[in-house]
Amino acid sequence: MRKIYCTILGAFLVSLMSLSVTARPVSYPGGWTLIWNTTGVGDSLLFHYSPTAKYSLGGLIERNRDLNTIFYGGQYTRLLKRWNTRDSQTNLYFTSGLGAAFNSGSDDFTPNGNAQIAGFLKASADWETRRLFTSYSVRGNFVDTIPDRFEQVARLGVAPYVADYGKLHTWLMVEIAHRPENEDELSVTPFVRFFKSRFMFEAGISDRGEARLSATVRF
Amino acid sequence: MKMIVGILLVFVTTLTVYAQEQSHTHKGEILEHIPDLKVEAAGGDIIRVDVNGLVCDFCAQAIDRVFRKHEAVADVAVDLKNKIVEVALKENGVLEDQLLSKMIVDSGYNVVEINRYTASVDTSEER
Repeated sequence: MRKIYCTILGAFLVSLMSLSVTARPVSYPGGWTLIWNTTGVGDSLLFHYSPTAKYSLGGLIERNRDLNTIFYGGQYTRLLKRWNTRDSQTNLYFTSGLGAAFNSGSDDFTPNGNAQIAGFLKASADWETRRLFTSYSVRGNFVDTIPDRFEQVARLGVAPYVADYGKLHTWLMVEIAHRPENEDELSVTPFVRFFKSRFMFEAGISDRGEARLSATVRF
Repeated sequence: MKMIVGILLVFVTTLTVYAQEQSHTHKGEILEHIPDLKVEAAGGDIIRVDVNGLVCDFCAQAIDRVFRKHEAVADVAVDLKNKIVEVALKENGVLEDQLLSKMIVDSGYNVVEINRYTASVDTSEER
């Protein structure tokens, strides 16, 4: 019974839910954000709250397909510095996560085996205008009995048109990910981002033919 | 790998060029006409604020939501193109420049200039 429950719960969470959750990790004061992400490498679901515009605290569920692990833990993101100019915004973030990792099996999402202490550290930066976007992040993943893993992700984007507040915003983007420990060390994923009101949605396909989907909602 | 290093170099160079914080604040004079008013006047003062860092819809939402929580605020409009936030105060509503600036800075943005427009002006012809 417990296994059925866990399978349903895990499937639900993952069905809602990359290892590179990057869409605005800190919100406005008092803002809640839900970010779901799925790629060929893994799936994640992050729900965070920003007491101030300087940091956010949240819960993170993350499945790594290469390691067959599911991570359940908390995440803390700090906006280290923001540079605002007339036409651009530049952000520097530090993110850390700490929790427990379970073996997920290859085809199901049931946490099994003993929990292992796991965590990650991440540094990221982005620069954005109304027409151009670029970001870079580097992250180290640490699980008790698994060798440490690193990844770096860079994104470039351009808006084909500039929309007013409240209108539909569209971005054409490309993501280049480098994961030295993975079988496919380098992956390139062109994708499109749609952005309206409280909602953001991204969809793309990597050069390996794997789908990349992401959705963000702000409350 | 070379591609990533190249992108990283471009990114860092871009950061260096654009990372100039501009937080100059200036209180504007009281005027009798309100040009191109976007906000819905509600009997109180109209405040127009030039803001740095307004580059996306999420930024605009942050400002919008923070101001709407204030009891003196009747309406808020954000102009992303001109980087302007307009705030309409309720009749007899009070929102001092100091608090207004703090609300914007606490939201993650910088105030460039604040202009206030008198509540006594009939804005119907201007809209």
